Amino acid sequence: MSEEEEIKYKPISIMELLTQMHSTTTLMIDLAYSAVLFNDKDLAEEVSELEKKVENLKTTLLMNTAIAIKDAVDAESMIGIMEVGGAADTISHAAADIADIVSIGLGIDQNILKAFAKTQERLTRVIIQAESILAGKALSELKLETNIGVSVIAIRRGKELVLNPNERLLKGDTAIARGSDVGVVELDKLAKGELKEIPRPKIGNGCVLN
Amino acid sequence: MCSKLSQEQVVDMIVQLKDFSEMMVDLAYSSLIYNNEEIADQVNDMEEIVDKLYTKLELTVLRSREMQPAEVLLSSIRLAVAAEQIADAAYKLATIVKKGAKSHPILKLAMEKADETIVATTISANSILADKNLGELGLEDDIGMKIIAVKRHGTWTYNPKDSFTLAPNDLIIARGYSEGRERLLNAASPKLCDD
Repeated sequence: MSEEEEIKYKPISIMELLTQMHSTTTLMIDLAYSAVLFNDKDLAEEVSELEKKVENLKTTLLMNTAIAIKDAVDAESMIGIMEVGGAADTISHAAADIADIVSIGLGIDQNILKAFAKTQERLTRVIIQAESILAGKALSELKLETNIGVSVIAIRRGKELVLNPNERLLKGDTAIARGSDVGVVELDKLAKGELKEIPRPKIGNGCVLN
Repeated sequence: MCSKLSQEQVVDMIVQLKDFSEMMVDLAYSSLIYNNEEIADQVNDMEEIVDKLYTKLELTVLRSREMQPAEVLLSSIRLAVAAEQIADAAYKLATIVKKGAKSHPILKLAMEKADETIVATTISANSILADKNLGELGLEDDIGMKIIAVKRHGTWTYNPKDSFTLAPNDLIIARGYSEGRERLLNAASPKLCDD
């Protein structure tokens, strides 16, 4: 068990804190369900780490709001922000509880796993093959979110696990991603090298004639 | 009770709880960002459904206790508890709006700064999105945007299906990433070409 981190004020904007809390909890839910779906203890462990991070973010958020409040009007306008911090923390704990199912090895009904693999928005895991056009390219340039509606939430490279990655995908990397039913199939084909071009978005291009 | 049936019910309910809770979080943040009480009401209604579903699931799991190892039954209950807690967090977010607390502008800015964000826009008459159904458009696959709610003539449709056809003046709320968001805005209200 690591020691509890000391409560200490950090000068960071409330907006930045809210953005981080929101992004982290969204990621945690995806990671937690991925841990369940792929029975992956490392992913589950990451969720526990993020749970601590969110708790620290919440403490810092509360301190920052406390400093910002000078009167009743401020308090009324800030209450929503504090509630958001609390809700994000609740979501973070719930995600950690999901991950715990994997950490303690309870085992999940196979039918639930099958059903999770078939929902409209789904989680997937692919290995980048040498012949894949994704190999050697940075996620920031691939823009898979906009191009195929798939977001890579983590990369496993050997023993290393990179969360919310922006970096280059390498041959042999395992990418864990979330996307639409069609998008995850496209990702799979891209990773295997069966699809040699990233589909470009058709909607929202150019302009219309008057 | 037929064992196979109750097992199927459990699976079905867990998937529903997962989908519902995640949708509620999206809707709750939407209601907060846009200060929208109607969406907040929807989150409240969904919370009631989730509560009932959760109780029904617990009972079904307990009744089927002889069919599966205790560990597996426990993991089913824990998945449901977690989804219920997420739904509860969404409910609390929506309650802020119901209580009339004005959304702080920082909240909207913070959400816009996140990689994944929520956007609201109206479909204009010349939009290529008008008169096509969501299945044909495939927005999620094409530009990574998922429509979570549509308002037409004062009525909201939540989590619209593939067969749902968009029309001019529809107000849509969608979730997705920055570039997809720009594309959606451009498709909803296309720029006119300079000629």
